Amino acid sequence: MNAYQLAGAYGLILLMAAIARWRRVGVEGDVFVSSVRAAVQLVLMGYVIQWIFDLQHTAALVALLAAMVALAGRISARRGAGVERAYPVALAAIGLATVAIVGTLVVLGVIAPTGRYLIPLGGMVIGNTMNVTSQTLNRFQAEVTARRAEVETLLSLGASRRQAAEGLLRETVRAAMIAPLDTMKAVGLIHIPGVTAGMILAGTPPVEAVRYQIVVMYMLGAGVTLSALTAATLCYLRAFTPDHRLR
Amino acid sequence: MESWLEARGVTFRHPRGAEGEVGVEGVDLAVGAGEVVALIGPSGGGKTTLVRLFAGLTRPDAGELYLAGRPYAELDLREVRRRVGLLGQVGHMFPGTVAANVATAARLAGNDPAAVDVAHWLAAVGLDAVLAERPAVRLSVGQQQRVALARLLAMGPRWLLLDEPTAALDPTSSGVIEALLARLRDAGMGILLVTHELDLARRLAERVAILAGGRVVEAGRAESVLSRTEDPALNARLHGEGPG
Repeated sequence: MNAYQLAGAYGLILLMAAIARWRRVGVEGDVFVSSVRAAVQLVLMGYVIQWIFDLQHTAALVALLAAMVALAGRISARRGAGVERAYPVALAAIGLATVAIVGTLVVLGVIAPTGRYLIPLGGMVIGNTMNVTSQTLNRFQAEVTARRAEVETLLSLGASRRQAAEGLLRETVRAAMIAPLDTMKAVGLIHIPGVTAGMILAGTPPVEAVRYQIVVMYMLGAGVTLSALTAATLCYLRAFTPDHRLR
Repeated sequence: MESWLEARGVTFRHPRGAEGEVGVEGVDLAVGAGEVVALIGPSGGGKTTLVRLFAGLTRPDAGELYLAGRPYAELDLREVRRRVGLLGQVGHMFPGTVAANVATAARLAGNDPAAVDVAHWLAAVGLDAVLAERPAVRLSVGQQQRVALARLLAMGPRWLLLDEPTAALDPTSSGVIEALLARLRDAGMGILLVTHELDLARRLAERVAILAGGRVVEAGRAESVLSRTEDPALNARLHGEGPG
């Protein structure tokens, strides 16, 4: 793509900003600022990715992934207001899923342990498990609040904490998994997923691109399931005492 | 001590801002086998908190609860709860049939729910056995409360903690439950009855304790305490006024 073609694409943005100004909808400023921001961010991202690809030390790549997990845990924990010590819970759920999934792919030889593979695929796992962990924390707290009477009735009738929590754990994990499961069901029918689209644009034959996409979908499916189960289990262990009381 | 459910010096403070209740402070109270102890006093005085402590749902900050002379701390709380049944104002019904609800404790204990004599327990609370296969959540509030009591009795407790069990009920259901409580008491059940109905306390209870501001401010024989309801000092305590 040459500079004229890039400028032509930007011309579309300027045209839309001009129409917005003419129609006095008041968004032309935002359109202009956002388009400049996006260009700057993407150029920076290009340099960062290049720098990451040049990293030869596995330890540096692992440290980068760990930093991404730590940040994702922080963001996810904000959704868990009311969950006792939500940050360690989110960190454990996202971290465990990332280590398990990325580690398995490396051990099986599906991906090479280089920046080119570890960072984009690790980022996908972290991003997706972060969303599911947020949903899990948020939903668990809502379930505990809404179903306190039910849980305490079960405890009063001699239930163990595991028996008393069964219903709310089931509902929490089910609700957190709705969006990723729907995405898996709809893939290829309603949308062309990112990996396939990117590889096709880069010249990879579609069937080859789809094979990678299947690996990615399975990887993300397993990752989000593991993170939802881990987060729900840790929430449960914090919500109930070992002697079967709901905190 | 073998036949007593006891609180000795029990204190519990709600976490700041958690509930707007005072908790309880240094409460001593015992319920013997075959007696009804009525717990009365102003709303927010700590009655429900004390019942939850007896039920093992809340851990005291200080003091200890005892079941038949043994401290709760030494006991498996699941076993405590099987022997000390709790029923609130509105018994929560689980999805499923009335029969499944009545057999809940058996199922949780790993026993065969089908072995529970549902008709017997429904009859005990004045309900017809034909209700057994009906969805529990479709019953009236009064029927649900009676099913909740049947479910509790099917667990085989020796004490009952009843937190205003008739407050939300129609006169018929209230009457059935009152008669049942009298029969259970006479059969040796120990009952701690939280109520705002002084007449109910008068009819059922041997002893009465007034809990206000989290403390037992008056306790004694029911006829003695309740015969003084016209006494201004006692009235103030009942309604949570003054220092108690």
